[in-house]
Amino acid sequence: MNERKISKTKAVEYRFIFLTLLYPGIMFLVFYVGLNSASFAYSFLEYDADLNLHWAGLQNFKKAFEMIFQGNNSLLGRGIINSISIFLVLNVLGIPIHMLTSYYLFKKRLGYRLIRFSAMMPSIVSGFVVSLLYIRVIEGPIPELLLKLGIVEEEIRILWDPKYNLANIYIYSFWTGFGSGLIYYPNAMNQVNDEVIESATIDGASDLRILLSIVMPSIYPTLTTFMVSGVAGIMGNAGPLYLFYGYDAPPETYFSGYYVFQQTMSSKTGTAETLYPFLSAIGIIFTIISAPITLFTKWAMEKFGPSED
Amino acid sequence: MKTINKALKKKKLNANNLVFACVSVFLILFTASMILPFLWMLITSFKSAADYTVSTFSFPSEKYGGWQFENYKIAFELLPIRIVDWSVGYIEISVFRMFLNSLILSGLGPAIGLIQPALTAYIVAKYKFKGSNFIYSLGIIVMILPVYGSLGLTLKFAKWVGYYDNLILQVLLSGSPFGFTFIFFYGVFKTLPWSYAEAAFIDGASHARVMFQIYFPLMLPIFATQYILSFISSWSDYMTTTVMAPSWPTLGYGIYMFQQRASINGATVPQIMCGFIMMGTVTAILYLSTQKLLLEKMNVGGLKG
Repeated sequence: MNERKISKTKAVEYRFIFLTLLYPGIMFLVFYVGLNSASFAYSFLEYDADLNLHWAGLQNFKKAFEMIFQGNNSLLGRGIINSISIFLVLNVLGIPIHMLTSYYLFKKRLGYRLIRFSAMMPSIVSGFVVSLLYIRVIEGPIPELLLKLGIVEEEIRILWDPKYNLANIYIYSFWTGFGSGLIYYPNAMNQVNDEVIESATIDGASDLRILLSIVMPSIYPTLTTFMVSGVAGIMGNAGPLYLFYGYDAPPETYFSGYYVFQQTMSSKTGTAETLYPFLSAIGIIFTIISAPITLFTKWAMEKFGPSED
Repeated sequence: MKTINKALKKKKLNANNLVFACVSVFLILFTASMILPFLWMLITSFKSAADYTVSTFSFPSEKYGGWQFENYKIAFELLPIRIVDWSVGYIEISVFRMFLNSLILSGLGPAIGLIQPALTAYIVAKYKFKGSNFIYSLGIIVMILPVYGSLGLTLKFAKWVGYYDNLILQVLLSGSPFGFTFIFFYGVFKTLPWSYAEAAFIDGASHARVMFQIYFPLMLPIFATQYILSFISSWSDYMTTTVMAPSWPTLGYGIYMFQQRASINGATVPQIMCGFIMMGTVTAILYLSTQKLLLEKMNVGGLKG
C-alpha cells in the first residue's frame, strides 16, 4: 500500500518534470539540435546549375581549407588570423589591466563611483548608441584634433585608411569591452572575505600581493568563465564590422565571423542561397578547430589554477 | 639587517604605489574617454550645421544661431524610414511603428528568453532524477562548445516554417533553455533550501504550485535584473531587422539607417546626435531607475561540470 503511494508520488513528480521540460526540450531539439544537424548535412551538398541540391562529398571542405591555407591572401584566412590575433591581444593585455583596475574599484579608491558610472555608459545609453557615437567621433573630431595637435600632417580617415583601420578595431574592441569587466570583476571581488584581506594588510602585505595571492584566486571561477566563453567565441567573432562598414568592410579588417555573416547575407540577397553548403562546411571547420581549444582551455584553467583551499 | 629589510619593504611599497598610480592615470583616461564623447554629443545636438562646421568642439555660438532646440524636432521628423514592399514599391514606417516593434522585441523577447532557462534550471537544480546530471552537463557543453555556420540554414528554416519577416513569431520562437542564464539561475536555485517545498507538500501543494508560488517569487529580483539587462541590450537591436525581419524595422534599425543615409535625407551631424540621444533616453531612464538592483546582481560565477 505504502509502496504504491510512493510510486504514485514519484509518478506525479516525473509527470511534472516531464511537462516542465517539454517546452524548453522541444525548442532545444528543433532550434539547436535540428538546425545544427541540418547544417552539418548541408556541408556535404552543393547546388547545381538548376539550383538542385546534390551530394558533394568533401568538396566544400576542400575549398574551405584551400582558402584558409592562403592565409592573408584570402578573406577567410585573413579573417581567422585577425580573429585569433585580436583575442590574444585583448586578453594578454586586457586581463592584467582588468585585474588591476577592478581591484582599484573594489578598494573604493578615489573617484570609484564616477569610474563605475562611466563603465556603465554603454548599458545606460545602450552599446549601440555608444558605437554609433564612436564612429562619428572617429570620423570627425579625432582626425581634426590630431591635425590640430600636429600628430598628422593631413586629415586622415581612420575607418578606411589601411594604415589605421585594423588598429582602430582593436582600440574600439578594447574600449567597449573594458567597461563590462569593470562591473563583473569588482562584483566578484566583493565576495572575497574581508577578514582575510584585513589580516593580510595588518601583516604588511602590499595591494599587489593581496591582489595576486588572495583576490585573484578567489575570483578565479569568474575569470575562467570569461576566458572559456571568450575562446569559444573566437571563430564567431564578427567584430564591429557590420556597424562600421555594412557589407563592405575593407579586406584587411575581416574577421572570421564577419566573413560567414557577410557571405550568408550577400547570398541571401543575391545568388539564391547557393553559398549555404559551403558556409556550413566553414562552420563545421570552425567548430572542429574551436571545440578542442575551448575544452582544453577549460581543463587547463581548472587544472593549473589555484585550488579552492 | 633591519635596515636592509626596511629598504626592501620601502622598495616593494614604491613598486606598488607606482603600479597603482599608473592604474589611476589609466582609469582617468578611460573615464574621460567614456564621458567626454557624451558631453560632446549633447552639446553638438544643440548646434546649427554652420556652427558645427566652423567649430567641432565649441559650445553653440550666438553668431551661428545659438542653441538649436528645434534640431530634436527635425531629427524626429527625419527618423521615419522607407522600406521595400514588393506590392506597392516603398512604404514609410513611422517612428511610432518602429517604437512598437522595439517594444515587441525588447519587452516580450527577454520575457520569453527567461522562461526556458528558468524552467530548466529549476528542475535540474531541485529534482534528482535520471538524466538531471546529463541535462546540466549538456547546458555547460552547449554554452562552451561553439557551433558555427547555421545562419544560412536558420534563414531557410525560418522561411520554410513561416516565421521569417514576422517579428512576433520570431520573438515567440526565440530563446534557449541553456546559456549563461541557465547556469546563473541554476546556481541561485541551488542556494534556496528545499525545506520550503517540503512544508508546502505537507500542506497539500502541488509541484507546479511550489514552483510558481514559492520559488519563482523568491527569484523575482534575479529575474527582474536579467529582464532589465536583456531589455536594455535588445532595445537598440537592429540586426533582427537586418537579418530576419526586414519589414519590421525597430528604432535601432531606424537610427542606424537615419545616420547611414544622412547625406540623402539631409540630416546634419547635430541632428544625428539628437537621434542618438532620443534612442539612448529610454534605456538611460530604465537603467538609472533600477541601477541599485542591477549593480548588486550583476555577477558571473564558475563553470563546474
